[in-house]
Amino acid sequence: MGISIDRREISIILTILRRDRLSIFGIAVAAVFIVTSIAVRIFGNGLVPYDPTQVNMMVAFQAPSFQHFFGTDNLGRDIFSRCVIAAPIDAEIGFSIVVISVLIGTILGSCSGYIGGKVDETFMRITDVFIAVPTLVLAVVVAVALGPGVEHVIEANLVGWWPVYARLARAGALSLKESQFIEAAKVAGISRFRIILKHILPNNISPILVYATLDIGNAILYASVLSYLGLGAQPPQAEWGRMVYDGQVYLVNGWWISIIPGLVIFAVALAFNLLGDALRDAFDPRYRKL
Amino acid sequence: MTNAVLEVHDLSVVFETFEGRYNALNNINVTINQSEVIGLVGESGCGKSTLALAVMGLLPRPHAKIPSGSITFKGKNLLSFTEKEMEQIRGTDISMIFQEPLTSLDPLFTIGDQLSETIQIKLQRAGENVRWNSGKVKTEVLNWMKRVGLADPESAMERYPHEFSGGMRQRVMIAMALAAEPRLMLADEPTSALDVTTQVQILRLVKSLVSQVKASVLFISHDLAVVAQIADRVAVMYAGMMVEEASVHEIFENPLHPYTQALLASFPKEEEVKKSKLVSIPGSVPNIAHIPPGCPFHPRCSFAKDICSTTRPELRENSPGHRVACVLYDKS
Repeated sequence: MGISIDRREISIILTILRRDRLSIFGIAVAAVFIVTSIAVRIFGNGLVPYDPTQVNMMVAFQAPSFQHFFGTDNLGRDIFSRCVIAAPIDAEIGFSIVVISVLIGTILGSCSGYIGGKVDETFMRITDVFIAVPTLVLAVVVAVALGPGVEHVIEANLVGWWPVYARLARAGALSLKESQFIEAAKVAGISRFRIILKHILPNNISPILVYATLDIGNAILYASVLSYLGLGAQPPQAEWGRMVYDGQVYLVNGWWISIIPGLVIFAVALAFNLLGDALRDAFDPRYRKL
Repeated sequence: MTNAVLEVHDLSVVFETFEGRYNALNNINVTINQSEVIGLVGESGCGKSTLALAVMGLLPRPHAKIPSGSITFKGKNLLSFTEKEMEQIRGTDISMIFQEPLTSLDPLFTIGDQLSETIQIKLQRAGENVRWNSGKVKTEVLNWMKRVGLADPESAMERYPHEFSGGMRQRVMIAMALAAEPRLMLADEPTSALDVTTQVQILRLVKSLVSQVKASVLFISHDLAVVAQIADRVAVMYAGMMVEEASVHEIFENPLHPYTQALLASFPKEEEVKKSKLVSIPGSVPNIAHIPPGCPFHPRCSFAKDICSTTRPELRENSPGHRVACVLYDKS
C-alpha cells in the first residue's frame, strides 16, 4: 500500500518552490552540497585542483585569487580544495543524525501517543530528561566521553536529537487517534500494531519531513561546532568546523583561512533552512496562495 | 434456546472525570435476535452512541467504567474479553458504520486499498494467508463495490476518499462493514450526514445487503422517519435509560411512554406546517451530570405525578413484546 502523490500535486509543489527566490537559493545550494558530497566520495581527490593535505610553505597565506579561489592557509594548503573535500563528512554527519533521529523519534512518538496511558507517560518523561539538558551541552559531554572521531560526533548528537521528533510524532499521533478513520479502522478489527504502522505513521509524516529538512542545517552546524571544539574530525583530515578553528589564530594576517569555511557552513545551514521553509509552504494548503 | 445474537443485560456505564461521575447508561437491557434490525432512537446525548461503543469495547479508557451488567455475544460475555480477543471480534463478527463517511476513511489511501485491508483481514481470520494485493482480494473488492452499487468499480478503486461524494463514501463504509459477513452491524446514524434522497438509497441498500448476509443490525438514529423505514423493532432511550421498546408498528400505532408520544407528536404534520407552527417537547434533555431523580423525564412530562420525582420506573412488559418504563402503566 504505497502513498502516491499524483502529478497535479507535484506540479503545485514545484510551482510554489519556484515562485520564491530564496527557496531557489536554498534548493541550489543544498543541491550543490549534496552533489559535491557524492562526487567527492566517488572521485576522491581527483575532483579538486590541489591535494587538500599537501603542505607547501612556499604558497602559505595567499589571499583568494584565480589560482586559489579561497586562498591558502598557514601551511600553504588550498582552502577551496579542502572545503570541497570536507563536504561529504558534514553531509554524512548531518544526514545520519537527522535520519536516525527521525526513525527513532517517529516510531517511539507514534507508539507512545497512540497507546497512551502509562506507556506514554514513561516515554514522555524519558524524553523530558533529554530535552531538559541543552542539546549542545549534552553532545559535548557525550563526545568528550567517547573521544574524538566522526562516528562519535553522530552518536553524541543523537543522544539529544531524537526527543524533538518523538514529541512531534506523539503530538500528531494524539490528534490522529481521535480521528474517525482510526476509530473506523479499530471497528474493522485492524490490530493496534497495524493501525500505527499503516494509518498513524503515513498520516504523521509530512510535518516530520518538513522539520527534518530544516533540521539538517542545524545538524551540520552542530557537527561543525563539535569539530571546532576538537571533538570531531582530526587533522590532517579537512573539516569545516576544524578549519575555522585552525584559522582563527591568523585572523589578522589571513582572514580567509577561517572566515571562508565559516561562510560555507553558514551557506549550507541557511540553504537547508530555506528549503525546509519552502517545503512547509508547499505541503501546507493554508500557505498556498494560488 | 433463544436465537439472540446480542444480549445486553443490565448494562451501566459511568464516566469518571475531574468534575465528577456521569451516568451515561443506566441499567440498559436490549436483545437483538438473528437477522433483526433494531432501531435505537433518542435525542442527542442520551447515550445511543455510548451503547454502541460499549458493545465494540471502544469506550474511552480510562474514564469510562462499567459498574454492572453484561454484553453477551454468541454466548460469551464481551466485557470479560481482553483487548486482543476484542480485536479478533471486531470487523469480522461485529462491525460498525459511522455518521461521517468522509472522516471514517484514511485520506492517504485509495478506496481499493482500504477495502483490500478489510477483506485481507477477513480472509486471514478464515485461515487463508493472502496478500492485500493478491488477485483473490481484488476480485472480492470489486465484487463488493458492485454489491454496494458503486459505478465503474475498476476506476473507483484507484480513487481517494476526497474524490467521492458523501453517499459514495457511505457505500464504501457499508462494503467495509459487511464484507466479512458479520453477525452484527452497529450503524451509528449512518444517514444523518446525507441529503434526503441519498438517505433513502442508502437505507434500501443497507436493508437488502443485511438480509443477504443475514446480519443483525443495531441502527442508531435520532430520526424516527428513518427508523420507521428500516427497523423491525424500536428501542427508545432517554437520558441514559431505555424507556420503551416495541415492534416498529406498535411504537408508531400505540406509543405508551409520554416521551415516545411527545416525540411522535413533534413530527411535523401538514396543517401545522401550513400554520408554520412546530410542536416541540418543552424543556431539553437533561445534562447527564444532573439527571433528575426518579423518572428522568418527569420535569418535561405532562402526566407527571408526585411518585415520578422519587421512584425510577423499571422497564416492564405491558403487552407481549411491548415494554415500557413508566408508572402510568404499573399494574400493581
